[in-house]
Amino acid sequence: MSTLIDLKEAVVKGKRKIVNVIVPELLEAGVAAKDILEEALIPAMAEIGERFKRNEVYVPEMLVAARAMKEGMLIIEPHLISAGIRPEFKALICTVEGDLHDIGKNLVAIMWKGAGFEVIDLGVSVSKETVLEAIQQHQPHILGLSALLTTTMPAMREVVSFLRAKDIKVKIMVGGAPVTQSYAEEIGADAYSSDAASAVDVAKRLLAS
Amino acid sequence: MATHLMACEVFRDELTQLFAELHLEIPVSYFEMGLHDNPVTMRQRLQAQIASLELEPKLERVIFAYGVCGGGLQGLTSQRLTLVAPYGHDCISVLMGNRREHEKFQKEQPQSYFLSNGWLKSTRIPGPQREAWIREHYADQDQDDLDDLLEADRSAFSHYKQIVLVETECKTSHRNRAEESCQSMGWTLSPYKGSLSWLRDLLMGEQCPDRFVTARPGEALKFTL
Repeated sequence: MSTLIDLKEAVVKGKRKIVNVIVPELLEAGVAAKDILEEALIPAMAEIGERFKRNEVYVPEMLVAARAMKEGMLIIEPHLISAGIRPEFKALICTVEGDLHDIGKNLVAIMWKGAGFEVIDLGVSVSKETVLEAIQQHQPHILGLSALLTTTMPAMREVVSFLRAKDIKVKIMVGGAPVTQSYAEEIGADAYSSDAASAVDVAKRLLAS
Repeated sequence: MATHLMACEVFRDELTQLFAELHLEIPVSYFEMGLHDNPVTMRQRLQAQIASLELEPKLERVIFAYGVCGGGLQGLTSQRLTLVAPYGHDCISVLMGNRREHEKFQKEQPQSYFLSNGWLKSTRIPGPQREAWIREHYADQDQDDLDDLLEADRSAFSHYKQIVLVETECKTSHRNRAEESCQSMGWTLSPYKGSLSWLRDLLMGEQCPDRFVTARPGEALKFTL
């Protein structure tokens, strides 16, 4: 019988096929979907994220791990819903205009979803006007903005000042490889997360404040 | 003024040509390409080199053949030396000759994968060389897992449609590698006429604030983005 530790290892190694076997096995054995999520899937992504930061793994490994986690999530989602676990917070997420790099944004979306957020993913290269419309339509608690390039960081600054000028109250969290805490403060964002693993804690702290 | 150049390997051909053209001899510390992947580590590496250069009593200035490079140059400081870096985003900005033009291009044509002559020497360019690197690096994986890794990696580049190759008066060219990459990925090749003028001005000691970020002793390099 496979364990949560086996599942975590399979996700870290990006073994989708094994994930697709172990998750149903665990559910069948009576392990709660919430435990699968919190004790295997999320810690696995946190671990791969840490290893990536330490240059111990490269982008392809990060991507296969994320795919493995996503497949695990798809299996447990109906079980989470039937267990009555409803999203506590609503989040919008996108990359800023001109930036098509979505690996980081997708990881944060997975982690937020895993943490029980309802995540509306606006995709890549999203203009400030589209962000505003989406906020008005969905009324999210938090907006996540991502930029991988320094060439697109000015677009991040523009979105924040545009929303502030319109007096939009949504909490704004920013991230991406070149983004820093001091840049987040400089452009008037509410929070900064250095990686997908800490994006959950940062968002929860921000929403509790 | 006694000067030391800290440079990314990406510029080696261009700098070698400029030193000959300008009859200049400036000591150079080259660093490997790709440090911008981890800006924190990059900053630590460059700062450590500055610390060792501070021990050279006659040295007064360090110039950088870099841009802000993902933030790797942001905040570099020296107690004793003046630091000067092009106010560009990276090697692409520097060779394009204008950071605003780079930003505009990125915004208008975000599906562009920018390359310079130097980057074409890297094994990270999407296409046959990158795939060969993945096959070698993950040689211990079984075929299924290797196929997954290759497919996932290729998908990370799926949003690109063209290579924008910034070409300059540099005499060495690796354009054939860009062509190979385009063929493999189904992209088009769009040459962009850049120039070596920004690097030339850096070596000649120009410090115009719109084009160069300068930190005097005790100050930190600050790129506003």
